[in-house]
Amino acid sequence: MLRIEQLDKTIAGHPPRALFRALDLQVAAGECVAIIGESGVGKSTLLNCMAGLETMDSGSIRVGDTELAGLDDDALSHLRRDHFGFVFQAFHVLPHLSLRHNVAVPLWLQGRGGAEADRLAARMLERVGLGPRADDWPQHLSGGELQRVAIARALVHRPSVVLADEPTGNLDPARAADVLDLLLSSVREAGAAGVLVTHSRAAAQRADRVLELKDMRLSPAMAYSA
Amino acid sequence: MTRSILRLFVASLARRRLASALSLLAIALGVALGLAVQLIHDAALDEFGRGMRTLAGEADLQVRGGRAGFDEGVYLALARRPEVAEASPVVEIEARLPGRATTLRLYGIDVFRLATVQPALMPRATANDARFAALAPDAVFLSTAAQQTVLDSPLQPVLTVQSGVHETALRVAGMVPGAGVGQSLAVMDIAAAQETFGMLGRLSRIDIQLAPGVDRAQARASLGAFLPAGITIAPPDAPVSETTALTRAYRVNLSMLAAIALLTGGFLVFSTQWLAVVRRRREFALLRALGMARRTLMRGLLAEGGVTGLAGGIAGVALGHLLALMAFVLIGGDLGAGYFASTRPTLQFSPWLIAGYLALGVIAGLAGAWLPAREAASMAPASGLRAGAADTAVHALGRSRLRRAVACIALAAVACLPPPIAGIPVGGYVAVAFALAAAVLALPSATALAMHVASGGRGVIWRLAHARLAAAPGQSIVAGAGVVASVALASAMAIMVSSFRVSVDDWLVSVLPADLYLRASSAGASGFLDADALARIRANAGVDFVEPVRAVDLRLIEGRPPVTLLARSVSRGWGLPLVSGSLHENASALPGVWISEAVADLLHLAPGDAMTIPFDGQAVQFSVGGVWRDYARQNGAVVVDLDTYRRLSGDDRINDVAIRLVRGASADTVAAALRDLFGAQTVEIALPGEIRAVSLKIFDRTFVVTYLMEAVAIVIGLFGIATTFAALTMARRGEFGMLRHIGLGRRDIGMLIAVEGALCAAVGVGVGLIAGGSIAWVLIEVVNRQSFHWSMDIHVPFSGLLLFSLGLVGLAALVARLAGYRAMRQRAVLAVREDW
Amino acid sequence: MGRDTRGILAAALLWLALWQTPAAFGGAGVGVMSYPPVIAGRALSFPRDHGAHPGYRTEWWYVTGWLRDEAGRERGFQLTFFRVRPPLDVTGSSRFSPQQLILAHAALADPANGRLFHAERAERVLPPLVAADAGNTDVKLHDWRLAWSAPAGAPGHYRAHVQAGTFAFDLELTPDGEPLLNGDAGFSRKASAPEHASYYYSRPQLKAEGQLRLQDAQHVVSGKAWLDHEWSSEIMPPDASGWDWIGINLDDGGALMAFRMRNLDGAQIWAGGTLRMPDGRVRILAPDALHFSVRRSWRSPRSGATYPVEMELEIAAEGAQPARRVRIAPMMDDQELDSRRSTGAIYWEGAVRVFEAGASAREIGRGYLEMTGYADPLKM
Repeated sequence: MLRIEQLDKTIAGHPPRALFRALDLQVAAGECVAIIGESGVGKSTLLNCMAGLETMDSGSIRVGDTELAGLDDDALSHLRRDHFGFVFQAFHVLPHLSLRHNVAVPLWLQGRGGAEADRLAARMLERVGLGPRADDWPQHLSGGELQRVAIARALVHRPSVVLADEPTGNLDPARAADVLDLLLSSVREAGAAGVLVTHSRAAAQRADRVLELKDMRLSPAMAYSA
Repeated sequence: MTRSILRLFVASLARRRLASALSLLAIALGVALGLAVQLIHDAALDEFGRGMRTLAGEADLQVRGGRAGFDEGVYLALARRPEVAEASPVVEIEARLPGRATTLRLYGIDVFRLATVQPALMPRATANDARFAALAPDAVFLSTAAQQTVLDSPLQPVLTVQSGVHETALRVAGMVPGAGVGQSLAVMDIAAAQETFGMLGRLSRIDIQLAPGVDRAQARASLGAFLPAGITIAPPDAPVSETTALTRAYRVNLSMLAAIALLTGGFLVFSTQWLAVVRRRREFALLRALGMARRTLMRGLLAEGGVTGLAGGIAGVALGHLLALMAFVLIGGDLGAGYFASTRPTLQFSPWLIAGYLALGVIAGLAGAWLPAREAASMAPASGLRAGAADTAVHALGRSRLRRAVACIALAAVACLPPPIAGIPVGGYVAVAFALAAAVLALPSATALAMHVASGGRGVIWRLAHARLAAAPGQSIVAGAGVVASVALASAMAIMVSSFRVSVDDWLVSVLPADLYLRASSAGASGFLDADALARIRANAGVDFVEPVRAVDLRLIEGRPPVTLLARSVSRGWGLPLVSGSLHENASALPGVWISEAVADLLHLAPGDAMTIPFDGQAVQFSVGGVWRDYARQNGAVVVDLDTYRRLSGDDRINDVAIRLVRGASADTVAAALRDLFGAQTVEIALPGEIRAVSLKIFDRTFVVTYLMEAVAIVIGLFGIATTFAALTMARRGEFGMLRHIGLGRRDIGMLIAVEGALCAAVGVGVGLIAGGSIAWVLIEVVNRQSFHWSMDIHVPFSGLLLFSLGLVGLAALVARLAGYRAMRQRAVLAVREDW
Repeated sequence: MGRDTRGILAAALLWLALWQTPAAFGGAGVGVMSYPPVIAGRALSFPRDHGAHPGYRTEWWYVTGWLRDEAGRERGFQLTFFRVRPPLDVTGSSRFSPQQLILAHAALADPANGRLFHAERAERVLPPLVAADAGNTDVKLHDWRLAWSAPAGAPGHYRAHVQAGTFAFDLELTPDGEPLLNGDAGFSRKASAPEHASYYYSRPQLKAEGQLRLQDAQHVVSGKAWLDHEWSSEIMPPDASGWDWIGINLDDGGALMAFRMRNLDGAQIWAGGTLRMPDGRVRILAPDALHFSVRRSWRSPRSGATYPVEMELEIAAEGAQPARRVRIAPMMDDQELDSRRSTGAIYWEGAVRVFEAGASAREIGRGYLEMTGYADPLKM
């Protein structure tokens, strides 16, 4: 579902620093991959590259049959709209929308407004355990609940790829485990390819595969592989 | 302490340069406009007053009549009164200069009497000229300013003046060195002036110095009792206070506009400070946690507003002087309104005035910073330290204030009721202020209502923007308060000016019914037509019907400049634009008089009332036949029948002639024939269309300043949108970054911000238009009526307002998008990682 | 200053009006006037000739005298009314038409002050405020006035009334007899050319009585005064630079008037005089019968002009009349009038005593001395 081949990226600076060199990654549908690594090795940048939010120097990133290289901003936006779901460390649940509408935003982006969007959003909220609070406002939710809303939003439009950047970074360990389980099970259930960036080895362990970003490449994190 | 305030607070102004600069600019503009209006007017009035003092010299009292003057016997009698030490007779002529648009103020003086009473008018013959030049019957002496305006070259030896339809060549014999640079005037011998301008036996003025130990008020009473009717005796500064009274309303009007610009600037400070406070909540929470006292925090934030206000005030004071200087050069000391003919004011620096306007700037800054500072100081440090606290502050602003808004509306309505105070419609201005306050207070409720009504949209951007504004109506106050104020002002002025212009246009059509107009000169000036000239006009081929008009000045209302008496036929002629009464002489035995609205207001007269008018020293009773609308003479005007006038005054001169042509005659041909008859330079001949065009041009010029002020207010209102969105998009970086992640393009983000800006502005414009409509009503029915004593028909320029509103909403969208450009940059994508 | 500045400015016109020759005027509207000539043989007729003669260019009533107050202090006074017909082509019918001007000049010499108090006024004739009666002496300039009044049965007197800032006086001046005709029965030549002449009579030995206010002090005064009335059209010869004049009331009841015209070199180019004896006989003094010589000069610290404030006058013998020599000495040296700021005219006009010249040096009379053209030549 997600295939990265020979990805090169150098970031500007004095001197310029090479982040990735001939990096490869494949994630199958229904598979969840966790990427760990030291701070600053480029985990988030890799995630951004996958979403077309940052450009690569060379190589190939394919989502399904679509090659990201060479697409313009509009095309990338449309691609993200249809094929990606995101979960952020800071939740980014819009304070001025009800939970239902927050979840419905990706559907709106696809031009699917109205009752259908509301129904699908409500079903997603039920799935993450917030069904009865569909018309509540984000201000009244705890961090864990907000992240559940975010997970519902990431999956409501049935994306091919779900990218999660430190989704539990703002949560206490007990909450974190619950939310992570929900995220992984939801991704698997939806048959999407999941990529989880985290510095928490405990969190990473719950993924199907754990890769470590080190020396400009991804390699299996030995200590945790089977 | 002071240093820490500087470092922690005031320095933050430099970090948000755009917002600080715009707030500063807004205050500067408000201060500048207000100061410029005052400077210009003070300078003009000052010069006018200096002129009056120059002329009055050391006089204690002045005896004045209308332009037609009074019998010179009054002087001979007055000069012998024991109260009078010295008396100086003056013949004042507004000399028409053939072929020139300007007239020359000419004083016929007794050179022997000048030295004590009016030394500044002393003529000085140029070298080698005759020593008796000051007494020579053909010698005229010009002030420096007059030399520059009426002479083609400084060496021009002869100045031609017009009296009646005849030209007289006067020898330029010297100067009036004491007149000062600003006074355009001429001096000649009193006997020569009487003869040249047909004033034999008449005087315009007597300046009096009282004997030592004589009380001025007592002398005024005792001498006044002995003067014939229609002649006033007053201190020499009376014309200044008369003119002040006349121009006060105009000046206050302009100052109010400037005040609204300043108010809008204050709103802008409020917006930027509020947003800055919101953004720095955690910073303040930290400071409080570290032990900063609540009061210190408050003081620091107020200092930010105060510094902005002070800087704006300084810039505004400089700009105001510059504007005033430019105005003197470009449009003259009366801002194009025509109050101060023949004075050339110069800019004065007044430390008190400057200090006052600086203080106004600081007050605007402090007032704008007050609420945000209080909000920040009242915040609990713990809650402020929490993430996501920023938005709640904006929400807090969105509380409904509908009840207060309704109270303001009620107060505004009540304020319209009282009469003017000292000629100033104080109640009207208070009503305007309350209406503005009501509009701003109603903004959150209006936003909620508008979002409720406009909830139909489907597009994601519309839905996001709509949801944002519906959930956070406080944002509309922060962004839109300035818009409301400026739109209310601009639309009110637009409606008022449009109503005025349409009314003036209608009025011009109704007062100019003839085919052709011929005039020797305006009411006060020295040109006139006599019976012979009238007969020559009648005899012209193509002339069917001729209606002569005589215009003279009349001292009718205490403390005000003379009113114009128009003698013409009323019921037989071409009607008047009556607002009440009728054109027919009523049944009473008294002759009829038709008074303009100003006279009706100031003397509290209505049709059927009796009225006394002085004629040549005799008080004559008239009966008010009707009240008519007169936009031409703010002093007031009365119309009496020409035959009655001639019978009472013995004056058979004519100023204007309205001519109806026989069917098929060409106006141009008749005009050419009349020009040949009198000489092109001695009479002005105009078609009603030309007069109308010129009048409307003057009208438009008068309102140039108000247009300018409206534009400034609008710009300041847009600043509010700009600063709000610049700040909000910074605060909402994470939100926009998330939206970019889930598939919104860069342009979509831009569009989202633009739509939010447009929605904000649309609500502000909507509320502003409603407020503007009511303010326009107050301006027309209360402020104008009480200031200028004229009524007008309300005419709303719907299409213009619609275009203006759409344009403003579009501009707001553009401004918001420009201000929010940071949210659209690639780096903003990464903002999702920032911990908010 | 204040109200008195008026006088200074008005004085400009005064001097110009008096001493400007018509030929100097040019320009439109200021034409060359034709004034009636002064010719010999016209008999003066009174009271008509006490009044104004509006046709002539210049006319003056000149009153000078000595006053003694209740404390015995002596002061000199002077009051002059000029009537001028300006060389203007004024034909207008306006009441303000400047066809006749009245100018007035008053001065008070007080030794306690050391210099003169003076005041000036000028106006156009505008009855009833400003007027010069043609029937008898009655010249009026607002509240300044010199008028003859003769209540029924009384001999008649002049009344002189002046109100100035620092001083005022109101005097009755009673003559002791008929007017004293100067020159040839009132025809007084001023130069060898006959057109430079005036009609001129004097009224010496006027008994003066009345009130005097000086600053804030009121005094009752009495004394002796002298009145000159003179009218002319072209009085001053072109080569003259100024004149000296005296009018003296002699203690013996007689009177002496003498004048001389000087040229630029200070030389006497014409002179004339009248000497009335105590018995009423009159001797007309011819030009060569009068000889002035300087005894003492005084230099004005203000103008720098030097005036012969003490002179000796020698009157030649004629027939039975012996030659006489008298010395003229001022009440005080500084009796200069400075009108330089307005007119450029500076002159000396002051009270003098007259002494018998020679060994006895007895005071024989008191009067006034006028000296013009010492600061600058009097422009004519």
